[in-house]
Amino acid sequence: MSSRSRQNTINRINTNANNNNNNNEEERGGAIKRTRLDNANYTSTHTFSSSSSSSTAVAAATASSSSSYDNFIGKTSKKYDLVNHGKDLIFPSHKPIPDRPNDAVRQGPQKQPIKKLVIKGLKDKPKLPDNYEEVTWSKLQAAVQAIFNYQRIGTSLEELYKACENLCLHKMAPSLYKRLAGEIEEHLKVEKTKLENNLNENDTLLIVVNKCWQAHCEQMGLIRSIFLYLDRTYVLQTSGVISIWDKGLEIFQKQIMSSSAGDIKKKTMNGLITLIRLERNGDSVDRRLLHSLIHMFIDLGIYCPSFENLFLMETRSYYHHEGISLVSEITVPRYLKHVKKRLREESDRVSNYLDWKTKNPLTKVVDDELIKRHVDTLLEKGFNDMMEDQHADEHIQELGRLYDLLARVNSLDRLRLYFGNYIKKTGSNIVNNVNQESTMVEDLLALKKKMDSIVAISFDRNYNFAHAVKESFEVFINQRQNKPAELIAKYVDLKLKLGNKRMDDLEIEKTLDEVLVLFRYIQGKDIFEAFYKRDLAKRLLLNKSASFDYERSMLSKLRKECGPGFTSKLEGMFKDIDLSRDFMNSFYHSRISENLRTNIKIDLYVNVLTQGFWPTYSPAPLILPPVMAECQEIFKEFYLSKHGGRNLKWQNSLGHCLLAAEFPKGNKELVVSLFQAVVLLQFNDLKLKERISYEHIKEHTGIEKKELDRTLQSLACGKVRVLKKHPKGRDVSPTDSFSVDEMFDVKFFRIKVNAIQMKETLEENQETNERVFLDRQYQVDAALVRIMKMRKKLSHNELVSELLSQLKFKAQVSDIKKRIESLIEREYLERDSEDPSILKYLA
Amino acid sequence: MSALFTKRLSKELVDLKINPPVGIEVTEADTFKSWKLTLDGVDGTLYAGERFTLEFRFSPNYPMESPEVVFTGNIPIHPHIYSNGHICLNVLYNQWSPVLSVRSVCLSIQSMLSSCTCKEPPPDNNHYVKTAKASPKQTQWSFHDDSV
Amino acid sequence: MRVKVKRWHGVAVWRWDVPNEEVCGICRVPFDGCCPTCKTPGDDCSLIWGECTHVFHMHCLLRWLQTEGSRGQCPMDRRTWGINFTKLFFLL
Repeated sequence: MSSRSRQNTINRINTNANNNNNNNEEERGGAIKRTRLDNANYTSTHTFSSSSSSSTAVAAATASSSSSYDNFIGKTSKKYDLVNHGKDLIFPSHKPIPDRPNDAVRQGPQKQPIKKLVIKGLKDKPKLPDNYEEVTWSKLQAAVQAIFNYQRIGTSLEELYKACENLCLHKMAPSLYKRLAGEIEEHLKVEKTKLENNLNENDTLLIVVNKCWQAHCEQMGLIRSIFLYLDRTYVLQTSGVISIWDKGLEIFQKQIMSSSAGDIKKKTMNGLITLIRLERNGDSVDRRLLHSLIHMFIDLGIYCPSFENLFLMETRSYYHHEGISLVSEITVPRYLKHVKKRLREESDRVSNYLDWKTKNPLTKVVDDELIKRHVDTLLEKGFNDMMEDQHADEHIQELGRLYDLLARVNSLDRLRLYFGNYIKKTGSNIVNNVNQESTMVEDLLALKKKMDSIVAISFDRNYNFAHAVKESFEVFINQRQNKPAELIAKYVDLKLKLGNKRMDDLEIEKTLDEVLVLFRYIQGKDIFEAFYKRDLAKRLLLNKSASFDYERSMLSKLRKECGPGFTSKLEGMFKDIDLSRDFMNSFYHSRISENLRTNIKIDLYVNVLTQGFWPTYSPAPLILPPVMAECQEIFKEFYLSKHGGRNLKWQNSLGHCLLAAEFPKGNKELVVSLFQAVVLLQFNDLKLKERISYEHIKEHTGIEKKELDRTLQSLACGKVRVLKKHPKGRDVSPTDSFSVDEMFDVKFFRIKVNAIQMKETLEENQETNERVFLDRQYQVDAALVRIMKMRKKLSHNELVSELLSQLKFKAQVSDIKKRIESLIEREYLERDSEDPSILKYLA
Repeated sequence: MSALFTKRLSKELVDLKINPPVGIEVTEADTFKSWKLTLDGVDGTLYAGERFTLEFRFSPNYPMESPEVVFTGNIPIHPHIYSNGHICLNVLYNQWSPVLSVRSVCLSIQSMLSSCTCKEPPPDNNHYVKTAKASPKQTQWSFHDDSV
Repeated sequence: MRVKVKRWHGVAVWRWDVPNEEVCGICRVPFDGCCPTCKTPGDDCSLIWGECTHVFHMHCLLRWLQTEGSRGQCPMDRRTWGINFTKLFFLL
């Protein structure tokens, strides 16, 4: 049974049984205590047993009022103690104290054990004294006033509670409520005047107001307890009447904190705003005071909108000024750090003393004023510096901060734009720097890596930013035609070539993957292919490949990237190498090679290439010494006997030899190109210091001038000088003559004479490029005819734009124009007789 | 369609355009199904000043199989050409070879016309035209007269 | 000084033994390239010579010989086709 329904039950019983007021009061004594206990914050020293009068008869007769009954059995029969204790568990302070009433109860049955108890109705309806209300109220009024004045309350709270209850029971609640309200109002009027005296004391006003508020709360708490019955009955049952507590707040608001009540509200608010400003400026302030007063506003219902609006306005203006001045005063990274700090502070402010509902609007104000307003300024002023920052960790963090902050104000698009532009600018500087070509690819890889890590760490792996990296690379890398493609191919060559032993398998795979990403951005893939193919050919034919596994891995990557059409010829090259190995095997097991092994004693190995797969090499004439020629003939004969219907042409420029050389100072082995070998063979069996002329060599080797110049230079002017040039000098001239360096000696037994011819020459580069251009011309022609055949009639511009969309490389419009003219000449196309900008397909 | 078919016909078309034989011109070659060419009578022959149209229809097995070749519209009067356009020429039927081409067939027909000495229809023209199927390739040809 | 070649790595390029630019009569593709059904030239798409000395892509000729109309004859001269074995690709 809840205390409330129990109360009602008691009430009903009592009223039915008799109208004994005192008894009723006694019962209520129990009730008040229960209620207070329920509230659990008030322990009264008053117990109902101290009630003034007793009613033996009623208690004994009905025995249904729980408290009397408890008392009764508590004293009369020990065996009910358990029950009694049970009740004590519920009402721990409820102790039946033997007093007069209990004595009566005990004595009653003892003295007149057989006397019948008769209950008779009262003859007259009991009446209240006329002044009952006034008297009772004055008791209450005195208490209220005592509370307001911090004085001791003369009457016990128990009694006051009963007084209130009685007034309510006698239907005097409305006037009681009114009187109480009036009392509160009177008191607060006085308080207001006190406050007004402090109005100009800015420092103390807040403290005084807070004191007043705290007192009000405390006092109203006590008053509410006394008038609890009023709250529980009249207030609850009457619509339009608010609880005593709320009434107190209402009066407080009206009397003290309303605009019509003077300046207290305004001054308090301003005081709070000032305090907050001080805190923002870095002073330490009394947060408890702020919390209390702001929650007073909340309780009084004037926090939102009046205080909140004022606060937000102040915040906006504060950060407006701060933003404008700081953005120009301090560096962007420092500014961002500051904004982060501000955001944290404001969030703490909300949890320290503001209403949580203010959090969103407050954050928005800070975002607006400190970030949104300055997005472009920040990016313009600081972005590039942040990207360039040398301290990697720090700049990654700073950029992350920038990203976070711009994300708050939906300005990531701006950041992306600056990010993309930065990449384009930086990349384009790398790509277009003619003096730094040797490091271009490394630089691009480094740039890519850096951008990737920024996207991954600072930019939250945002897809749009990853896309910006890709887009920007595609733009700048194709700003310069052909060169990047060529250099990427060469970079791969460098990695796949012998002598790159510092890398392990994983590293090389990783590097190849990275380079492939760059390759993906390039439009002129044919240029890459041409250079890659030429380098691959050299690696394969001159045994310079670091590992066939790497080669095949790269090949499969390319196939994945560009399709089998792109790599079929490259694969053909590998196949030729494999077939040649098999063929050489069968050659050495054949009878025909016996002569070679036993008589000529040259260990011959030949790679036979399929013409279409390999780069085309211009023929390089060479007169072989008879032994070598014979050797070659033997092989050729054997090959053709096995492969009918074929022709074999020797590629002298790709041959290389191992020579056994006897020098005056000792025997050596020389690793040389075929040209070098044939030239050196001319010096066999010469007398010491005997010279032979350039012309003599030329005549007897048949090597073309350019090639011969390079070869002689490599033998006489290079690092390892087997020959001596007369006269000395760096460049070879047709009037020079040469002799063996009789003093030739080096530490090692096997010496590699670097062949300049093996390195890439300018002409070779030019040639590769030209071949690609020629190939592109065919492609343009074919695409033009294909488009026109389908569309029949197109304007010049339409045709060009459609063509550009179909081509896999970036073609110059001027070149396309030339191709169109050429097709008109060849009568594939004609110009419309009326509108020469219209082209027609001729079928 | 096989790669051989399309590549071969593309090459032939380009070749006919870049380097057309005298008196022969491609007028319609939108698809690889059928082409139309005009054939001009050679000066100094019975057909001088006349222009004829040849239609070539290619099966997907071209060039392993011969194309179907007929005259359309104005049909030349010739002892080996029926008035329904069918041509009695052995290379179009049992003497076809994949090394032959649209060009070579045109040249053969041109020379067949040029060597004609008497403009008259084939002797069995009426009977043939009545009984022949649409495609001349379904006719059992016998090539006895190589002299004309 | 005296030098002697101990080891020699040579490089040779092979082509079909046909005149430059010559095309296969059947597919009209140069012999240096492959027949229309192949992707790569060379060992995978061999040529074939007849006793009559005529030469074709092997794939093209075999396709022709499979047709009824060929009657086993050379497309060039309509003589019965016979392989010139001296020029046949020698399978190792």
